[in-house]
Amino acid sequence: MRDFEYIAPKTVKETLDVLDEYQEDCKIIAGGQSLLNILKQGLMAPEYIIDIKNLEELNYIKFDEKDGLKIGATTTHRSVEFSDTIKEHYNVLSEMERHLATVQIRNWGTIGGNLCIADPTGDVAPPLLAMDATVIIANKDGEREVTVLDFGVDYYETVVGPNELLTEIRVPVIPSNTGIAYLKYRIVEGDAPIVGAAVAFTLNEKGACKKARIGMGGVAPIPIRAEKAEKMFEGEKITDTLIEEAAKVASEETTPIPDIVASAEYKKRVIGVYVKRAAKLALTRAEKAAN
Amino acid sequence: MVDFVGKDILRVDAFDKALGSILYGPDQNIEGALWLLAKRSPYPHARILSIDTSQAETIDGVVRIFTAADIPGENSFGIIPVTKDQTLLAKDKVRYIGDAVALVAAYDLKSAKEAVDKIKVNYEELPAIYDPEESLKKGRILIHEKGNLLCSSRIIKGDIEKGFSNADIIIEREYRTSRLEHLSLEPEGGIGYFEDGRIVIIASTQNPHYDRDDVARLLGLSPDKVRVIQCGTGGGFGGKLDISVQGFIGLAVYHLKRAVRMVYSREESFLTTAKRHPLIMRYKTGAKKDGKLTAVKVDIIGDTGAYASYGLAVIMRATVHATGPYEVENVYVDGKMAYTNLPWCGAMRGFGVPQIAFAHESQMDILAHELNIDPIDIRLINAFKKGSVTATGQRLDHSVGIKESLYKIKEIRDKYSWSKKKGERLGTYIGVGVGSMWYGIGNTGVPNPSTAQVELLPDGSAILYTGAAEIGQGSDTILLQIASQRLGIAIDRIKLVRGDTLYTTNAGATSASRQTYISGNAVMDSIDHLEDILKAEASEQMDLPSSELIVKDGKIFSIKDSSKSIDIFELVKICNKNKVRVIGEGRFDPPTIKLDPETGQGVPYATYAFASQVSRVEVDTFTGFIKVLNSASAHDVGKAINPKMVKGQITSGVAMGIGMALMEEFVPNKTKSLKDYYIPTSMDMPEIIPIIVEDKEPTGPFGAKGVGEPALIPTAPAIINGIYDAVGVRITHLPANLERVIGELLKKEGA
Repeated sequence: MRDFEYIAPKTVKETLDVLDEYQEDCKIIAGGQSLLNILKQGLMAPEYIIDIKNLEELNYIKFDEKDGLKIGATTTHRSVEFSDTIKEHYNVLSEMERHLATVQIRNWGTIGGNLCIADPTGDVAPPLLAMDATVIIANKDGEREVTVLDFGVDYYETVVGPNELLTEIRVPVIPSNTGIAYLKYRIVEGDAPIVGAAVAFTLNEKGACKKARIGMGGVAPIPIRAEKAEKMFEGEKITDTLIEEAAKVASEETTPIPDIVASAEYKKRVIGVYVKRAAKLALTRAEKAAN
Repeated sequence: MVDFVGKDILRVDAFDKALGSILYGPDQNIEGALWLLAKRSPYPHARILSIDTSQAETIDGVVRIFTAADIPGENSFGIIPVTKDQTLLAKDKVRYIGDAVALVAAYDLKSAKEAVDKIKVNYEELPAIYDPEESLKKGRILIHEKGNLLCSSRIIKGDIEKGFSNADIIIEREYRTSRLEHLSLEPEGGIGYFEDGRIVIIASTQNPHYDRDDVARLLGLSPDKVRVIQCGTGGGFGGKLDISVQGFIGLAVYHLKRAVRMVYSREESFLTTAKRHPLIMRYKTGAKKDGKLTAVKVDIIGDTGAYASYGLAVIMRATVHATGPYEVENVYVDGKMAYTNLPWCGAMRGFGVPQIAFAHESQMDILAHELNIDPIDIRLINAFKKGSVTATGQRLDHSVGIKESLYKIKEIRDKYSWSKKKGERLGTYIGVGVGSMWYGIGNTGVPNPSTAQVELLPDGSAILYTGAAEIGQGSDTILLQIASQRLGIAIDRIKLVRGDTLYTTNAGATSASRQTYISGNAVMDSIDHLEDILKAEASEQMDLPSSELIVKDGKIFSIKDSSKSIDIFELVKICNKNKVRVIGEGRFDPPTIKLDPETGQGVPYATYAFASQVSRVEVDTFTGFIKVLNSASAHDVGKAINPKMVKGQITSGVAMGIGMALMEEFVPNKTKSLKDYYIPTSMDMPEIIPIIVEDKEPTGPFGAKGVGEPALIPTAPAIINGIYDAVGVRITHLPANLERVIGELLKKEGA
């Protein structure tokens, strides 16, 4: 690891000023669970490290019936996992967090950091994609809202500019008659998924699919949605056959990167299986919500 | 009298380990110690044309840079005396990516790293060999001057062709295994300094006396000029049998006469320490319709990588154990170990037996299915019993608990009605697999003695001196339990002096599951000697011949008149007053007969451990994912000195075996660290039922044998056979990872 200067701003405003000053020469650290590994391996060698871990301004979980959920960027995984608000209104996030890495990592790592490191196998993005979530990105002149879908640019790359900071994650209110499920496929407990699939179904009063969302991780350079597969459900009665067919289409929408664990072909195969399984679980939950 | 043997005594290091007060290799530090870091080869095979350290030496903080020219003694080491072919710092050529070429000593790690980057090595790349069979072909470039064949081993018994002509069925298959990483809790590390004219090295090790001797040899010193102290060692699994940091620390202290420190990063540990040998095993097994084996022919090719390490021992052990724990009249086993330009392989829990057991147990399973015989029954039909003769011609007269272990697992399987069925989720199937094993305790057909001393002190306490390295397996506790039982003194009244070459004598390596049996016996022997000393003293005091005295309950009695006795500690006081310490010296070398180099006939081990395991697995046919649901392992350990610790070993073996069976694979050049190498976590464990079988070994301490390595061995076979039972596909290449399983499933679907 190369030496760097450590800066710990006291406020968001101060952080944005520092970012504006150092731009490409600095990197933001929050929980440090990914960045430290990257630094240790010498893959990055920033001159300045801006520590935002202690920005209490960004550590919150808020909910109201109109705007939905707002999570501050430095909120830890563990806080999300145990939040009663989240359990009540967005339980899929709590479920996702329970299997994200280990307790030690969840105690340190932040939900914002997870998105910003932009590892395509991250657990956080797929369920957010399934819920049409957005993020707020600020710089010293103001802020902008970007969908999680548009957030990723490439492998480990996002739209966050060198003078910008992700400050908040927003999840809209979940419509009634909705079921959401996230399933990850991993070799051992606590590991990053090989692939992950999140499916959300909203049913209409007749029990047919009003809206479908499929978020997928680990199957492309960035987290993606299976938009063609989603369309197959809309307006239709969801059956096992339809799920089976849509899962095949979802699998065709992927462009996985092979690695030491699995080939691209293999990942394509299992994402189909996991979309299918998540869809079945989401359907069960949606039906339960509707009754 | 209180019993110490056979009791679940709390590990003597339990509190210190739980409280974190034990210092492991990487924790060792001395104020002002210099950091050592090695410069390593980026090429798998290359000639070194020149090494330029001049620029690196100008860096502030660099104290000295060493190359092969600085090694005062023999620049070659290796654990087996006849195959010391590894250089501490490469002289003329490098043989794998990671071979050390120079060593930097600096005030801080940062300067050391900078210096390592600035050392310029001029190489001439040579063609590299990555396949052991390629390596043995004529005309290939030589990795070592003596040739690319490290060694071979052969076992011939009966008439193999006759055996096959008598068979009703013949099964031929090829099996392969992968390189594995030991992944001890902490990587290699230690410190060294100069004291009283000696080089002192404190490090993580399984083998302090070997370390001392090989470091002394590297430095051209007599062994008494080097002192090695074993520090806390959080697991070795064979990976800390070879020297790692010890050689570098020794070299630096030799020249600098000051404190130095070296710690491998996890990445360095992955790159440069021993791996498990991948074996290619070609089996031909013949049997009668009733399941009785008639012939076993095996051809084994091993890949030892760039250096010998334990290659010789691994191939010998694999050939000796190739039949499995079964009577076979006609056997022909041929094993060869070849060099390649891949990371070198050495000892790893089981020394080739986990690999060979995967093969022989797959063969047994195929036979069982082909002949429609229960897989446990086919093993019972063939299993060794008292009086059986092994492939090396050894008659097993005692402690042959293999059948008992099979009965035990059969009981469990039937009690819980474990059998093939559909899983709960669509596309999942559950199957049940069986694996058995035998494992010779101690080194193969060579002397491998242990020594120990027990001293009595006038205050009623004692000291046990042993060179046996405690690596988490529990030898400290076991040896103390044995001493306590024999002396009739509570464990907390016996001080342990362990693993320090200045104060303890050679106990041999903590490997080959040998410390309970061999060092346990050395402790027994030292107490026999101690009693002789006491009797001799009592004979004078009581004016009776020694032959009329016995030791019992801390006293010496006259056989003829039990009212005549003297307390042993009274005798100690008398001796001490006369300036005589009361120390019993013990030694034990298991009786073996060297194997005939042509036929492999002989007595490779004095005793064997036996085990059987049944595992229940669920296969997801959509993904190839395998979940081990339940596992029951029955181990014949002779006598469990500490049943709880034996169960701990069995459980750990299942855990490690799941990794070996399903996910662990070190892929040279791709596997760099933990992010590329999977091991199961506590949350991936199945229900594990450990069962102790005690068929006492008459030559063992209180009947004990060993369990450290046996614990692992039957696991992978049981899981692989369980997969076959569930879905009818046979994995012949370990690990049965996701892609291999799905590949086989798709092949079957296509067929």
